[in-house]
Amino acid sequence: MTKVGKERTPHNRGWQRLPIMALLLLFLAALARAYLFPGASAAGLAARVDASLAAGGVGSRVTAVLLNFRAYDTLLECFVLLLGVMVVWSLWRPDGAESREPAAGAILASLERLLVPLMIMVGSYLLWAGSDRAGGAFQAGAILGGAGVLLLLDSSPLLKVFPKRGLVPGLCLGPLFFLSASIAAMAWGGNFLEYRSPEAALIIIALEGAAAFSIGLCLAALFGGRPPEREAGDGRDRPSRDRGEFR
Amino acid sequence: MTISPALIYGLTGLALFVIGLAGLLLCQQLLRKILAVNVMASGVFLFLVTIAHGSGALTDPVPQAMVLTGIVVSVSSTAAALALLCRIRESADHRDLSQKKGER
Repeated sequence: MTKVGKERTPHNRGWQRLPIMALLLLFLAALARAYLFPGASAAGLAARVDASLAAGGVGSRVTAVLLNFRAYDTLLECFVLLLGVMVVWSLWRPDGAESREPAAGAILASLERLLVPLMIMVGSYLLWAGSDRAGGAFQAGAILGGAGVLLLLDSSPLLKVFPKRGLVPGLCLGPLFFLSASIAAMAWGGNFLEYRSPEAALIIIALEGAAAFSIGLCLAALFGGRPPEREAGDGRDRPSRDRGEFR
Repeated sequence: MTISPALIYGLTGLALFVIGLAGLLLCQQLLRKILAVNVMASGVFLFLVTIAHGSGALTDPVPQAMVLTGIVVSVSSTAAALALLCRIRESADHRDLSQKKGER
């Protein structure tokens, strides 16, 4: 670990980079050409979205795309988030990460008292606004995740409000609710993920709430980085630090 | 063809993508590679937002939706990559790829 922070550049590597640089410049030129002189199929999908917006259940076009027209993408992306948390948790080792002690201070504590209620309020507003203007589950989830990060930064006592056993069900709530709603749509005679117009608004609002909650929790859990500890008696030695986890 | 703000944004997005790609290919340190992937993702997001706005007054919601989900997914993939990096550093005691393959 003697070379940390320094790029290893032996003398003979400068000219080796040149062909790669040249190829990348060519690639950039090709991309720019494709952007500047688009073909005939570059009309976009705005007109098609507008044409079928009435059947989508919500007034906001972005929300309709996210949760109805291209709901398959959104469903898989919720699972990708869950997968990220699983990767981070399975790579966690209790004896690593000595440098996780945050410098908790009075400024952070007061900032947290000021901002976290505001962030929860703004997140809820964005969720509610998502049905007919800019906003929606991902924005609300991002802000809720930010609030969670702020709480994790000095392992706030507010985290104890959230039950330890509720973390995994909370993470899974959004994706599983999404999946079950899309399977239930088949029972009502549609296809997988096909919400018909009368019920669509209600389903989408419920889906958005669950998805935003789980997205926020996933983002905060990714920042926390460590899985919730099991109850006593699992045999592993337990570090005394409580930082960076949901307790 | 006139120079419009959208044109500048689009070309900047493409340039960011290629700069990130260069970093991904040419940097040896793993942390720099992760940052380079993030630069690439920023370029893609900028480009997608630009082409969503491109077609006149009617904005295209499909690229906007892709950016929204993409930002959240890129955060999660970055976190997974950083966790992998920490694990590599703990177990192998090196942070770049050069020491594994000998001097290259």
